[in-house]
Amino acid sequence: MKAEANLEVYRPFTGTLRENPRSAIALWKGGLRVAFRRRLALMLLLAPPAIAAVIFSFVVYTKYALEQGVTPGALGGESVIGKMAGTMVKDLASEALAARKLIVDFHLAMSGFSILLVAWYGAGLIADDRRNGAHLLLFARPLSRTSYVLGRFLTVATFGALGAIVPTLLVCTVAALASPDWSFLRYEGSVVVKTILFGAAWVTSISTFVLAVSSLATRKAFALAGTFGVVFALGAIASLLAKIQREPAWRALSPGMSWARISNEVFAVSSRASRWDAEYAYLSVSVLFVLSCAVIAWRVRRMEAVA
Amino acid sequence: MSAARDAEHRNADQLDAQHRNAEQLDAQHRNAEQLGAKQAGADQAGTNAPILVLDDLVKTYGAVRALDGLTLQLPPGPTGLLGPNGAGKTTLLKLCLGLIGPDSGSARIAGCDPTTTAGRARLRRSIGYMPEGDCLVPGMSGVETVGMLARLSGLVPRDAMTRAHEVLDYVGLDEARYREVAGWSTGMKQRLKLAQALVHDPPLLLLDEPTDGLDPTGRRHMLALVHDLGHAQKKSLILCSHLLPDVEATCDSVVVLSRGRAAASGRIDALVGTARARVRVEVHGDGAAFARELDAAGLAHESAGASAYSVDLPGAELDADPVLAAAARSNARVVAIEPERATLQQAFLRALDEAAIGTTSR
Repeated sequence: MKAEANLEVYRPFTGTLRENPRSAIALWKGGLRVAFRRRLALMLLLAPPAIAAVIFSFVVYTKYALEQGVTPGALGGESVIGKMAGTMVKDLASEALAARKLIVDFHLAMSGFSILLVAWYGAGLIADDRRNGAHLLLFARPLSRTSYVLGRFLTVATFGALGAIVPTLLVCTVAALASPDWSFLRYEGSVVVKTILFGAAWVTSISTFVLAVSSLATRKAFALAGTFGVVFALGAIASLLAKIQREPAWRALSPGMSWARISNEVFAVSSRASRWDAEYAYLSVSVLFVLSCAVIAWRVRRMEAVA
Repeated sequence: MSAARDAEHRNADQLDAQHRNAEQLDAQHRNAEQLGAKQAGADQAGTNAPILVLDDLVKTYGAVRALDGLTLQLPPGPTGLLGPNGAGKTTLLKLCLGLIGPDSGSARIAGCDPTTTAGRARLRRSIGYMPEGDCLVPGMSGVETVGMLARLSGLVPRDAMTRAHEVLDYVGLDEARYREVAGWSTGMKQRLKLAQALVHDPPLLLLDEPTDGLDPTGRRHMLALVHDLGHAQKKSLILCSHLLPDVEATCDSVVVLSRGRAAASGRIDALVGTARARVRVEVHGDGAAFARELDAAGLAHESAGASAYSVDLPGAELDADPVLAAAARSNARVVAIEPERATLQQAFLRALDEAAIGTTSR
């Protein structure tokens, strides 16, 4: 039997309202709850970093195990398949120059992949709020624009961190535990710090950029197209200008190339991308960040006023 | 086939439940009004400070003066906000929420100054806003939406969830509260909007077109809820609606805005009382001659069916002598004459006419 006796009874609220509610945290949790409900997208986007983290952790572990005299057969077990796997891992581990190089390469690859995560989960945040009229409900509360943006930023940055930072930290943890006498931490410990700092800066930058595009778009699909459109268009223009002008510094026009240049600088890796002055890359990334913040501030202010 | 029959049964059951709920609520109003009538009078007398005080408020958008020196005081209780499109209603609601600031003039809403940051925060804790049109937080269920908005209003997480369930019970959203809001009917979304406005139990509610898009049953239910909030629960509310019967059914006072100014404001019964007295006259005989005599006597009239006329009387008093005299002169036999109840619509149109004349003469 359905209990209808309590329907339509208004109960006054007898508790107290907080003067400074943690609005950004509430928004962040709400955003995560919604995002984790879409399980297929979550699985498709988080599975690659998870699988890659497991494989690289094993490779790093193997590297240190081999250094300590463990035989390849012992790595894969006594079966034929186990021995084959052990040999493959041994080859892979011995080809890599050092655990540091392995981890840096892995981190940069994961950072690149995290664009997909950030774009997928961030593109709709502000655009869909506006399209669905959620801003009318949100800004009628004691919610400041800063808290709103922070809440949305935390949501998207969480996915960026899950893609770019967490897998690398997992590999670093395995390296630290597998290395003899904590040698990884003693001699390559800066990689961990640099991974966290570079990852945080990268996630902040792309999350802000994606939110800025989202604030300009009317729906998620347009924001997704806009995000990738801008990234690819700037990349193409930067490459073209660098080629025509024979000046590699033009690559700074592309956020992707600028971040690649910065990563070379931070992790002291030399590659084709490091043949131009890193200051241009820092300038380019800073300008993009400031511009993104300005766009978000303008659009969210407008959202509040038209609410 | 059996599935279709089951669905029909379920729909019928839901409709029955809604009817029962609305009837329960009607009964609840009557009881609450009877039981609390004396206390209500005492309370009103005790807390008669205006809920909204606007003084010479001006707000312009470029060359458009949305609010043009609006001066207004609203007493506590349910008040209807009326006005044609572009009258400044939306601007006034935004100002009440502190979403925009005035160019000049001062405002105090629920005792808070909406022009300061601290005042705005306090104001938004004191106001529940039910916006017009569809609004939902994407991807969330009903209870999650209300719970999150409760937290944003300042409730601690456990209180927020308890309170979300309480207000969803109150507006009559049952199991649907656990489903994603995007798939809900218009009526359910309207009730959800009311629930989120109530979740922090504010003393002042701003309701923008609460019956918009509702079927007759849903409309009756929503009006019953609004009436209950305004009368049995003693909430102050500003009901913005184009449907004058809704305002008349739920509000005690009304403000008519026209071109950014208050064209009329006061208690509905007083405003309707000052509307022109009107009678409905049914005659046998030469109706055309009767109409000519009414014209000659300067009595405005309009056809109200076969051989029937609605006639405006010269004063506010229901003095039908001039009508009877016109009938006598035209040799028409009056078979029925009855006062026509003045409606809020007449008062509203009259206020707008007077405002238009005032603007032209200025």
